[in-house]
Amino acid sequence: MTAAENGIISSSFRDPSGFIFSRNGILYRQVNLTYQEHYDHLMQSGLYEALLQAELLIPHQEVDPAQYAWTDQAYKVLKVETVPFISYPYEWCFSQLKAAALSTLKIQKIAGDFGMTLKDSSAYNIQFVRGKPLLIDTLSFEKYREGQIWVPYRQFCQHFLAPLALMSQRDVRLNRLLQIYIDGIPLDLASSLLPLRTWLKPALLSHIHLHAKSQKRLANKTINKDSYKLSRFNFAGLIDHLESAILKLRWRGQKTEWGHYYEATNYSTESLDQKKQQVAEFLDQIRPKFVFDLGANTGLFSRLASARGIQTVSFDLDPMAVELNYLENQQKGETHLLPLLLDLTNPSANIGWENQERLSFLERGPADTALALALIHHLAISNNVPLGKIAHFFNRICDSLIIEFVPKQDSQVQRLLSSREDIFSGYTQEAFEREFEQYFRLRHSVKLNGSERTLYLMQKE
Amino acid sequence: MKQIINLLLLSGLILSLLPQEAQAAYLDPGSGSFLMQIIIAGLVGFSFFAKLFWKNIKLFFANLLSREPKQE
Repeated sequence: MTAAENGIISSSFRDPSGFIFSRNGILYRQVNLTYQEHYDHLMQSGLYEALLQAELLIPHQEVDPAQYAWTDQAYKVLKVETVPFISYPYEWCFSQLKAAALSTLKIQKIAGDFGMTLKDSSAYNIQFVRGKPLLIDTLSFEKYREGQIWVPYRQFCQHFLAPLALMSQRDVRLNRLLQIYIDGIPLDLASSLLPLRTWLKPALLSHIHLHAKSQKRLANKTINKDSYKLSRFNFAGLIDHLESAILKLRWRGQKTEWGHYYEATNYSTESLDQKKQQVAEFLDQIRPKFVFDLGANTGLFSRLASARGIQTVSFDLDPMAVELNYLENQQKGETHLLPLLLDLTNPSANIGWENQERLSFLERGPADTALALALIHHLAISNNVPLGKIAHFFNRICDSLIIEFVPKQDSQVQRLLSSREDIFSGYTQEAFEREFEQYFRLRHSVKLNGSERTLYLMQKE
Repeated sequence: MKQIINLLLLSGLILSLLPQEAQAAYLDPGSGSFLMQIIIAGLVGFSFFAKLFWKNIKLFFANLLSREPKQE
């Protein structure tokens, strides 16, 4: 179920407090009667306002339940702000996941000041809106009861601490494990994958290694939970300990293949300026509202779109490029840009319950416009994707397309061909135009100075 | 050092023995995670207290030093 269809959103079913549904393209959240006490406390204690002020929670408006309720169990119906593009933790770079983890703990701390606590800490409840990681689940709070434990402790360790520790201490690509384990990385798996030296780090020793041992030892045992109590002080100490554990995790990064692309490219500054100017002109001509930049590297061209107030998602395969893109995004406080990790040869699929809980890349599209700059040779030559299939893919994800054709004689293509046999006799500019004309009208083409490359503006009829 | 460790262990032990009212949550905290949380929270409680105490002391002196003398 996507926002375009009427019905309950397919990822919204675990929590009996309420659910999200779509009606005529607008998203609403039904708050069930069973959640009344907690919802009232959230709104009346000042917590809701405090979280909005701290830019940690998505805003909502109450609408008339008599008119909008989806079932007869409704206490309130909220009209929720639509997130421009839903992204998932396995598409985030290290610093995005870290920011989401810290937001979650900050929300917990603020909630504590208003006599509430989080009842879940799913990474999927955090979405990047206006460049900030916001909690989108308004029903994640419950009234704090003296002596209670922090219920989402295990979930927090699985969704945030374990992947961040693995990315920081073992390999940044291990965030992809979140794609397999939808409720976070099992702690015994994290423990076995982490290097031995992490046993010497008190936070990782306790929250991951010993935590995993404790889970194993007590797997089939029940303990009398009623006989244990956590004082307010110890509760706050636990949150503080988790926060410093997250803060200590860093990813130093490494030189990756394309991380220094703009410095290493065969474009001169002048040619790069011409390309930027041309892309900007095309954007001004078609005035899209929503752009995908595919193979965006560190987002140089994405920023041409986002700076024009266009919602732009900047995808790249390289964790370092996405990391640099996100850090720049944060440093500049950009509100219309979202950098994400994506492997175009294996884009995020539909996963979770009935394969509908977390949506595929294609289902979250299409965009008005896609940018595909210095990309096509990687798809066609490095990944052996025929031009016809590339054109078909773009037909599915956008209405208009700004695409750069990189011919065989280009030095970057020659580099890709240097280690393999040239089996790409069909990779020509004529064939490229022919295949794309199946779906798009070629509106403009401009030869880029100082190179053999051509920039196209294509649009569906 | 040994004293501190003993103290931390003791605070964890004491806390873990206290009774608690029943609760209903839609997430299962899991027995292993539950116990681990009680133990860690017990252990870090003391250092959290020390951290807050030290922060307050620093704040007190910072305020004291930055306060300008009142003019009569």
